[in-house]
Amino acid sequence: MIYRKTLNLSVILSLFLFASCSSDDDFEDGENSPKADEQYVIMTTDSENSYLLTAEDISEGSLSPSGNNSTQVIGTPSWYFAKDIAAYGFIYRQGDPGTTQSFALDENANLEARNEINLTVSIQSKGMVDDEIYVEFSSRNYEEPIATFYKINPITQAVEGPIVIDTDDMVENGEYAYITAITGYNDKVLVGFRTIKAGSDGGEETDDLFDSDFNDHTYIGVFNKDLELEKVIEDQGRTGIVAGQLRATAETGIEPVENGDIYVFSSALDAEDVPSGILKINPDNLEFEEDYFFNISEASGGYKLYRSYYVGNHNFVLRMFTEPNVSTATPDDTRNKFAVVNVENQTFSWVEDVPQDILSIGEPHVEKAENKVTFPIETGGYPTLYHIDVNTAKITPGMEIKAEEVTAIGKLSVQ
Amino acid sequence: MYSQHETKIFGKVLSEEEEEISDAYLYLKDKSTYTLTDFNGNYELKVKPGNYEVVVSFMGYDEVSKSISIAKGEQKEIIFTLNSISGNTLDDVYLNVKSKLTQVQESSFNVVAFNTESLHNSSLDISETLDKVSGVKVRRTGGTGSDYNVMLNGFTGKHVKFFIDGVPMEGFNAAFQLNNIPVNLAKRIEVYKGVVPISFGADALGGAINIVTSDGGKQNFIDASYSYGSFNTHKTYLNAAYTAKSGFTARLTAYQNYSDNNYKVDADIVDLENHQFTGDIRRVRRFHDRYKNYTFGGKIGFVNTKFADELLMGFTFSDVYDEIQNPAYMKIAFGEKYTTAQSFIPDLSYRKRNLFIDNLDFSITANYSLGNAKNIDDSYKRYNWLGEYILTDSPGEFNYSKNYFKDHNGSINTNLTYLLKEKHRFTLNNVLNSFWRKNKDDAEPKAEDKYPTETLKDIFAFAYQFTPNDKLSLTGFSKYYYNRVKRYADPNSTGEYQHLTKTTTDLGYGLATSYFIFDNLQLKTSYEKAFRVPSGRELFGSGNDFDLGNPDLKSESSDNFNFGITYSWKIAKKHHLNLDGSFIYRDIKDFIRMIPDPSNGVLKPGNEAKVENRGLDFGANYNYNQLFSVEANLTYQDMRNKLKYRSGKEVVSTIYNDRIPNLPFLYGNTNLSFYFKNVFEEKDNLTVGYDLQYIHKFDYSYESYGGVKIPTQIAHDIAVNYSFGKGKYNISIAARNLLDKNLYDNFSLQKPGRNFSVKFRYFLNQFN
Repeated sequence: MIYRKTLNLSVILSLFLFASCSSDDDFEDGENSPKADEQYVIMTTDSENSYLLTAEDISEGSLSPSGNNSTQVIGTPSWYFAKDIAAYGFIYRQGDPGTTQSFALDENANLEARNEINLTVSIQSKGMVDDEIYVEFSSRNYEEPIATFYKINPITQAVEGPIVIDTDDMVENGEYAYITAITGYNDKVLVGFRTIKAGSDGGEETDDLFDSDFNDHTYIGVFNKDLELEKVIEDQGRTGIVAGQLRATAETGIEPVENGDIYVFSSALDAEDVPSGILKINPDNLEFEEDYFFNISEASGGYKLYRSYYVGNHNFVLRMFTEPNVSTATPDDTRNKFAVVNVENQTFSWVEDVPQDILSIGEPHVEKAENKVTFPIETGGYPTLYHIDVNTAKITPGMEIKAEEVTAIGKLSVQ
Repeated sequence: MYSQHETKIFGKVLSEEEEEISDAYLYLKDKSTYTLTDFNGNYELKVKPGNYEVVVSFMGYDEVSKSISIAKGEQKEIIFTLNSISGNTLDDVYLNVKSKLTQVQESSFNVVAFNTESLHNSSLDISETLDKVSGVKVRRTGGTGSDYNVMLNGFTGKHVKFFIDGVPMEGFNAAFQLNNIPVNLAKRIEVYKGVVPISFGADALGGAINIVTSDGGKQNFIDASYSYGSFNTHKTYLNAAYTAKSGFTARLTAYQNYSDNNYKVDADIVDLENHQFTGDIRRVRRFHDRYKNYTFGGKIGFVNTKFADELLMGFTFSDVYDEIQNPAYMKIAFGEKYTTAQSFIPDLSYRKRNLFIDNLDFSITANYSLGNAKNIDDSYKRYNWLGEYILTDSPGEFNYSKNYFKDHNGSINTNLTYLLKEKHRFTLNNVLNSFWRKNKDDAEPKAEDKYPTETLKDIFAFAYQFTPNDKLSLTGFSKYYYNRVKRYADPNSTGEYQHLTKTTTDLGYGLATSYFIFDNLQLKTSYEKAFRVPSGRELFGSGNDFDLGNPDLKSESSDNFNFGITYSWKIAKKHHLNLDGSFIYRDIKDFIRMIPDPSNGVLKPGNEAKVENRGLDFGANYNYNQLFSVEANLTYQDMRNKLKYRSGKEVVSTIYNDRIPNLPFLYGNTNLSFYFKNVFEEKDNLTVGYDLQYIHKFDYSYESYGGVKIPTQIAHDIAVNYSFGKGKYNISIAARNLLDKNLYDNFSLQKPGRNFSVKFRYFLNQFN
């Protein structure tokens, strides 16, 4: 009860602070007021298990998962928001107890744990295709060159799959496809991938299964919705593989915008001599445009991008590697810088006022209406929700969460 | 008739029924000379000429003494007859009471010597037996052969080390483990709760458990049994020993366990077509949890000869097949995943008292284990708890693997003890352990697996024990730990593999004292600075990209304090009460914790955690006139997270001072037994026993966050044993979990419901 009071107080305060809130019709003061139809959902941990909190306003104040006001989830799954329909906790580590569990708002805007689904595999890549989540994991064994997909309907909760595709003949370069991004586009599924040796070289040069001679290539497979491969588009020599790989997992990097253009972001992972940059796919023929390239390494003064978050009007927030010319899948190479780019005008601005002592960064939420991206950031203090405003390219601290860590934030709506 | 060289007394110790008493303790009053009777009740004690009072004591019997005078070269035969005191003979009551022997030998350590002989008519395995020991909690994941985790004063896993006859079991694979060794193989189980005597040479931060299969000496017996129980469980056991007058001995051990483990559990049924859990919880039979193992071994050698008190050579071969029904949570059912393991363990032991000179005792025990194991999960089928399945295109029910392991593990334990002027005992001990393992995963070849992992561990220790009189004993000791791990690894998962070697050395030390305030009231206190060296996996990672390594890890250390009190009260002629209590304090630093980094999806070990534990154990037993006995024990642990600031943090951790989650903290056992003598024929005995186990509700996760709890559980077991033909023939019937409650040792992992077993046992305790 105390926690709800604090919340309402902070909502009132925010009303004064943000005069732009034009209408208070859907806001009523008082203890028993119905909850708003939209709720932020904050995934916190005690270091071993997860605790979900909801809040209507995250611009300031403080919230604590302790004392039974949160929803416990066993383990620390990796969170994915299927639009504003449901939040999914996927297993990222085999051996963790748990199946895949999802949460949605019930008609009273209370967080509701839904029946679990029997997906116990480590999901490596995921993306929305229309209103379905496509999830995937790829083999790293050349003797078993397959990638396994599942389709999840976040509304009915039905799961289709496994759908297995061959990864040895997606491109004829002698290496094996490893999928790093999935994005729906009209009636197609665009699948970003890299090629790896997957042990086929017997570890002669290096024992890295991800070793490749093609890290200066950008590959995208064009599939239909039944996951039948239609064609592979390829760019060579300008930048590298589709962005966002961390360890074996990857997401983001293929980003359709309002006018139908598709931008492809690359970290130029594991390729020191290759610049990180942005390519563009022509929506008419689904081929890379030869005359568009936004060299991020150059624009940033030598840094590489990690993941991309689309806010609208061609504006993206980029999470960047901390050290210049570093881009690997290793957690030890931190990604503690942020930038705002406009892909149409090719402008690049470093985000200012980023905290210095970052220990970890959680999965962010993009609030298109407010032109901002919210990242849970852990520093020497309690984890705090930081807001990046794309108009000002500034980061400001918002709500503080009294937990060991915040792994993700998102927003759900009553369906 | 007399030899001119040796002056000695010899003879037999008998009960009032003229049964030979083995393990009776015989000593000279006010001297430190003592001996034990052998299996046939015989003893022999070399003495210097003079006047002595010879005292014989054996638990459950009145002490007897006799004054003698012995001249040089004289050999005197004395037969002692002991009268039982309060209805408490070794065969009848299972005793947790320390015999005077253990008090003298191990007096200063916080140890429970649990006599298992009264359980030899039950069909328990060693891990189930351990659960009955005060302060120990064994958490099992299911039925026969299931995974187990032994908890000792709040410590679990790697912190508790196991030994069989003093030899470390650390490198043994699943084929020969506590969950398949029948209780009959153990004569006694010693549980060292804090300070571990140097003769074990272990980096056991949390204590050690030693399974004693034989006390040495001349053995002639046959112990054979078969039991059948619920869930199609069959267990067969044969153990026989022959010793010739010359000292030649041959021993044979063979046993087998089989169970379908098809007990009923409550499970959510998944719809295989759309992968959704229906929320339809049904009571279903487990259908893929078969466990079968067999072990075969033998020893030959000599005992009680001139050149050796014991010289034995032998081997143990074991094989196990284990189907895996579910992972660490009950939602999912597997239908084909399984593991197997085989091990072949040759061993050698040599013991000699008075080696070259008087009072210099030497022993060496060695074994070498050759193991194979595999872990297979390659099915294309997906099952639900109803046993239904669908075919898919993707292999692996949980985590596609075809893992093959090979390991070689050798241990040599060498001990030298010298007793000076009967008051000063000096002991040197060295334990050398080498471990070699090679993995191969056919599902996804891993770079780590190109080269084996090798570990070399050596623990050298020195102890000095001062025993000025019968009442006081003081021991000081020091241990030097050396550990070297070699591995081809990529601890930070960067893709760059290297041959890495890490050597750790530590110096531990401790003190232990005990004092008899009265003959029946003993106080003990001990302290140890204990270490546990980091494992290869902790240093170099587990070879996947989420369990990383940390080559900079230090050894874990702990300040272990123990205080104990034992009181033995003969209330009246037929009433006997024993009480013991202990308090422990543990301050654990540099605790190795797998630190999760959820935003990067990795776990990386660090010396981050700091834990404090305060614990209390109480035990009591009461016996009345060979008719009735009660025993109870209760343990309370207050184990808390004392890491106030996590690394890099300026704010107090939200879980600071929380109880360490997912550990039972209040638990106990009670046993009531009734004995009916001479039921049909003389010496036919009927025993009816009742057991109650209690575990108090505990948190699965950190308490200040709320979250799920494991509920309070009470289990009731009943066992009836009928023994006839002077103990040769035994029939036992046992009913466990009598009220058919859902029992859990771990979150959501249901243990068997009500189950029954019957056991037939033939025991011939002497021939030849």
